[in-house]
Amino acid sequence: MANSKKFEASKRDMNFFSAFSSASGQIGSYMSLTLIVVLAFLIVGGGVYAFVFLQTRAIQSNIDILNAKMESEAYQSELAKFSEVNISMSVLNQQYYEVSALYSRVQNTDKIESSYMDTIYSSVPSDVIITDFAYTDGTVILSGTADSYYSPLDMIANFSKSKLFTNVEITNIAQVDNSAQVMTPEALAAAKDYTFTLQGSLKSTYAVLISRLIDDVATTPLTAVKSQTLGVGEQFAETGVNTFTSPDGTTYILSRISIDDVFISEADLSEIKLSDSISGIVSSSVDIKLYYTLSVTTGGVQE
Amino acid sequence: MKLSKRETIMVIAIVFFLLIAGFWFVLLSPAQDALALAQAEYDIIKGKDEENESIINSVSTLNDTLNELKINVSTIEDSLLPELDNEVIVEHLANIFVDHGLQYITEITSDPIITDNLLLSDGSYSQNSVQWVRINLKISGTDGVTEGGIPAVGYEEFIEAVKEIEDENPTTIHISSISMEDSDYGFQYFLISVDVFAFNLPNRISSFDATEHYIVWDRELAEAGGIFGIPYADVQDSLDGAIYFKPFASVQAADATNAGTTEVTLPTETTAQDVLTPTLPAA
Repeated sequence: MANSKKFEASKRDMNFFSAFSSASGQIGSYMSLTLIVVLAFLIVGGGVYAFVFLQTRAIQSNIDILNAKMESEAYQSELAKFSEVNISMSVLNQQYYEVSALYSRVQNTDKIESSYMDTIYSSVPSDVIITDFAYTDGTVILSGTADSYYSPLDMIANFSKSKLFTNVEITNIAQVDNSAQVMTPEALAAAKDYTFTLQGSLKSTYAVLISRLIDDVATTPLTAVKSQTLGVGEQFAETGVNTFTSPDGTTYILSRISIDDVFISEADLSEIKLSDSISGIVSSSVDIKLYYTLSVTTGGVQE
Repeated sequence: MKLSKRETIMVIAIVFFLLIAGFWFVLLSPAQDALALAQAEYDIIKGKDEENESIINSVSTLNDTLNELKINVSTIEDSLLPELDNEVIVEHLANIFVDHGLQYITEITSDPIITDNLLLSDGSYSQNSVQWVRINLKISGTDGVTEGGIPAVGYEEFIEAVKEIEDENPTTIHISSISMEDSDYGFQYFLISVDVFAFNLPNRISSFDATEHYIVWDRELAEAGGIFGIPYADVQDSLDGAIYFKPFASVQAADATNAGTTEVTLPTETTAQDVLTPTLPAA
């Protein structure tokens, strides 16, 4: 009985060792596999980490290179040049606006044109003598003597044919009383019988000024004043008013318009924006100011 | 302690998981964050650099535009005189008439200089301004028969001179009016008013033409020696000996109209001698 128990025990021990050695063999194979996997993981993980690390270092290195470049004297000097040019541009733009505005005033001052006198000279009938004339402020006054009262009228007809005046007024045509004069019959025959005075108005011209300004407190000018001198009834038109691109490439958008210092209504502004032009008929001097704001691009759409 | 196969796998899996998690959270994730940060920083700096590069590249274009702008401004600055010199302007205008045979200039006047300031949109005045002066000339024509045989010069010569003035410098010289008055004695007076404009630009960017006719006085220096006051020797004969109050005279001439404030009592029968030596009232 006791032997049988011992046998059973030794059998169990053998089974245990067998199971133990079998389990340890399994664990050993698991450990080996685990080690291989861990090793593989370390290699892969290390590789990934090294890649990330090296990439970070490379980027950092690029950052350092870029920073060094951007902080370099040459780079900063080039940037400073841009600032200088921009300041010069701004100063010069202001000067351009001011001298052009002043010059437009000079251009639009009244002056006589001698060519009108040439037309008048060639239109005077043969029996008319001009004794006085005055040409100023778009008006010509002619006084003289003539053989008949028809002669001044003939002269006006000549003026009409040459379309010189927009309006001619006969101020006076009067017969000369020579009865009190002591004259020989020959002198009396040669003396002119009529005196006359005429006044003719030449076609009036007016200035049309167009300025482009930034819509801010300082109302900085964007460019020179555009000046035109046009006759009464003529049409002025300015196209491409909706935007303005400055020489440095900055784009501005039309925000407001004033005509002779009075801002136009929103409805009129919309109409002008729709046609991208402003126009009108000249009947007096016109001072148009176009105000712009800086264009902001959001999602590819200009605002 | 004996671990079952499942338990062993589970333990290995947990260890492996912890290893991965540790690697992920402790090493890789911060490294990736650092990479992302570095990349973001790089993108910002690169963007800034590209922006700056584009600015730097635009400098040459801007310089071209700036030069173009300078030319435009200079062209306008040069279109008016840099200053107004009345004497030079009058001399030059007079010479034009003389050159056309109208040498009898009877009157020259000049109006006060007017300064036109530019009011800016912000309510301030620009430092730049335009100045202008009006010169008026009255010139006599000739009838061709007066003493000396002067050829007849009239309207045609006058209008030729007007055209020369008109064409010479049309941007800065404007003729504001012309007129003619007939004398009824075979000659005429011609009148002309000329406006001459100049820029007054404290910050002028262009240099002006120093040889411009209307700013250069090219006559020789006049000999000095003029005097102040008409000397007695130059008094017109018709005025010489006339009775006039002379504050410095010890004896005043007697004349009711010219005696000034001194009241003179004349004798009943006045002789020439009495007039020259009147009796002065008692002080």
